Amino acid sequence: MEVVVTILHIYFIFVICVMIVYSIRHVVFTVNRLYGEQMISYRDLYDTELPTISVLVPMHNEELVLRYVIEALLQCDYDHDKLEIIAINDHSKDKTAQMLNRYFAEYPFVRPLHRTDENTGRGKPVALNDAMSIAKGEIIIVFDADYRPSRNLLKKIASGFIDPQVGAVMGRVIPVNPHSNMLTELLNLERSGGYQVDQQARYNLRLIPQYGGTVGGYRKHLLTEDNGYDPNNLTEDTELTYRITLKGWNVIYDNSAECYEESPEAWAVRGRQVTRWSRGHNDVMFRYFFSMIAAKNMRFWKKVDSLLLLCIYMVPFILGLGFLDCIALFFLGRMSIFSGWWVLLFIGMYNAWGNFAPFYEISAGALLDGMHKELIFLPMLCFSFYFYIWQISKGFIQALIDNTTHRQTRWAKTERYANGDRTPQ
Amino acid sequence: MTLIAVIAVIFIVLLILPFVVSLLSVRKSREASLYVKSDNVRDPRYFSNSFRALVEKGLDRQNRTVKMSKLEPFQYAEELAGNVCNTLVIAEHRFRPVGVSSFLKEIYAASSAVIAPNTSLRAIACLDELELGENCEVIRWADSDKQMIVMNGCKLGMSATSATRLRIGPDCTFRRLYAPEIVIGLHTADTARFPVDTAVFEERWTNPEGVRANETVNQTIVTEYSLEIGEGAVIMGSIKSNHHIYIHQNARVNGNVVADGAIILDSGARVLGTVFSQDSILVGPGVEIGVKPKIKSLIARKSVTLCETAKVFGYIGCEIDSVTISQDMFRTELNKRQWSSKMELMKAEIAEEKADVSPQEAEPPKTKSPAAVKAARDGKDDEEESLFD
Repeated sequence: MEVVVTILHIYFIFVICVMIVYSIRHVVFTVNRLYGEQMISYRDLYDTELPTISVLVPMHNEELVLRYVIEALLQCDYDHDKLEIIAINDHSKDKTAQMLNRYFAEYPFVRPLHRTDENTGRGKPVALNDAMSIAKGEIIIVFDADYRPSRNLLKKIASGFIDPQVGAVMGRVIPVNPHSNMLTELLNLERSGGYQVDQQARYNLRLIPQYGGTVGGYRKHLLTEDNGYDPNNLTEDTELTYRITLKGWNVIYDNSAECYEESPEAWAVRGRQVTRWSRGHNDVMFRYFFSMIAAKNMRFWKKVDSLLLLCIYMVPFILGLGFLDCIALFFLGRMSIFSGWWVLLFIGMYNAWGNFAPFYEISAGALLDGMHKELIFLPMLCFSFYFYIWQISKGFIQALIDNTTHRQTRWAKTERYANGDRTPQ
Repeated sequence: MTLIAVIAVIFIVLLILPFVVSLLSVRKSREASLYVKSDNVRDPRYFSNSFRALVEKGLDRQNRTVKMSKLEPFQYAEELAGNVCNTLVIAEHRFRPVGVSSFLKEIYAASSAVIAPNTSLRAIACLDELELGENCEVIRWADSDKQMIVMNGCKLGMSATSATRLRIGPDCTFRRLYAPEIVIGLHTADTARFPVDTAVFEERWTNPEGVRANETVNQTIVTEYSLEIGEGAVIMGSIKSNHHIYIHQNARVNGNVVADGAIILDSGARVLGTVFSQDSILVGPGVEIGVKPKIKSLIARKSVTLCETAKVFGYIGCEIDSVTISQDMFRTELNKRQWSSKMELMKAEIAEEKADVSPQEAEPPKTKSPAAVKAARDGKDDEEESLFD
């Protein structure tokens, strides 16, 4: 029993250390974003020789939303001689194929790719690989079907590639339905903190902003010379980030390159989405953790932060076990509340400031975005925090099983909610 | 006991209150989609174009008003009187105001305009040629459809733009400049230099020690360290450094030059692409950035210092007020602390890097004479050829 208690105590201390490390990380990001030197992106430049781009839009049963993304792309001010749009119809059963064919008839640079052969597999990575094999552009830009790019977004993303060290450019996702219900309000806050503060700070500090798989672009040859995306990975974007970083390329972030998305409006949908992200991200973590440690020619802090980023979807699982650890210690009578007052004080202070310091990032992001009224929802993040612990832990366990048993993954699409009112006004 | 109960109630109320407020706010705030102005397109002459559109559409000659964000009274140029003009001015003929030292509102000049020295103006949109006399101050912006000449000592506010050419004298300050041809110096010659070989190779050469004088490199250079490009060298690719870049006299880069630190372009250097720095940029005499008729950019997160006889074909942008200087001030500027400290740092870094890199690790560049490169592509023998027409 003493051995068990000792292990529980050690794990408890370990959890506190992990929390401290991530708290410091997020506070550093917040302080940098608010008070540090801000790197400028390449959006301000004018250049009549921007690269050729291929915009890929994977679609599976997207009849409800596809016209928004296609119409928005057609309005973009990128030179049509240097642009092609490949809309990938991935085994759709609705009217997606017919709608895409109508666009192709009117706009020859909008090319549908119909994937109907069941033997070729389904899912975003496979669809993107097929599209890349026929894409003519030097730069690939990917949008999800429910996204709505702004008119100058393609130029902003393409401009980043004037830097010969840039391998991928990531833009910013903004929810177009932030006031639908409590969930969308919280997602709006999370997005604000994640992009306005976290991504921008990582760009400022020359760390690794994450390529998000949509609203971003990358150099085509970086994937085509390497057999493309891994079809078994559910977060091909995270995998791309690490793959190109290990090859010595940079991922950069442009805070002004905005694209508008529809956030999930049901907790069940959001839960499935987060579990998938966790599963995919942890899969990448298992694959790239030691490669990142061994990477040469990488600055020390960039390497440290890359490892922290890799493990970020493991932390809720660690924390969840930490809660159980505390409960066990309490019922074993080995979590003495009064003699361990300093521990209680620490936990109380930590929770008062906000777990993982997301409150810092989220409140700073909301202030920078002018969302003063939305700050009223900050306390509700407590509930989503426990929700995410559960969903992310499920994803971590699934990833663990995937990697130990070499199980194949199945792609599942996030449900859409679009109706005629959801176009940005 | 009562006290404990009261404290407990207060505690519970304060604990629950934020959640109640949040829940009530959600019930109130069901709105339609986020309002986003998604049709935004970047236009370097945005201020002038939008002002002109408003004037041309909303001009009411009878009531002497223009419908802007509100109804603005205007007066014609011929009616100007007094030292200070505090209404919008419409000039339908050649505009050459006399005796007015300050224009507090915008000027719309349908023909050419010559602004007297020491005049302060808020903004001017000119549909012909525009000349700003010495020591003029533009508070917001100035734009012309034809050539804009800016005499010495002017302050150019937020932006100065032209659809054709911008010629700026020394000792002027600016933030953003745009024209297909920006010429620093009122007497800079109009000679055009067109390089024969403008190829840009993308194969990367990583962390070189530097590029020697008169060397030709057929690769793109990417380095973690500061970098010096020797006098007369030719880089047939782009350059990226995580620190500073110094391009010596008469060197040429066919691609883009990007640095996280400062960039110094010494006399006669040539960059055919865009120059971008997260620090400051110093452009020496005779430097050319871009190639007519293409539009390229020169962008710094801090300041840009442009020397007389330099040319930029396109856009110049910076976050801190920047300046043009006369040719004889270039070496003085280079010796200033802002630049000399960076150069010392650069030299120290390069020396340290040379000490770290073993002979086996130091990759030689892929180099050939420009003529050999062209001949290889054309399938011909080596020929003696000039780099420029």
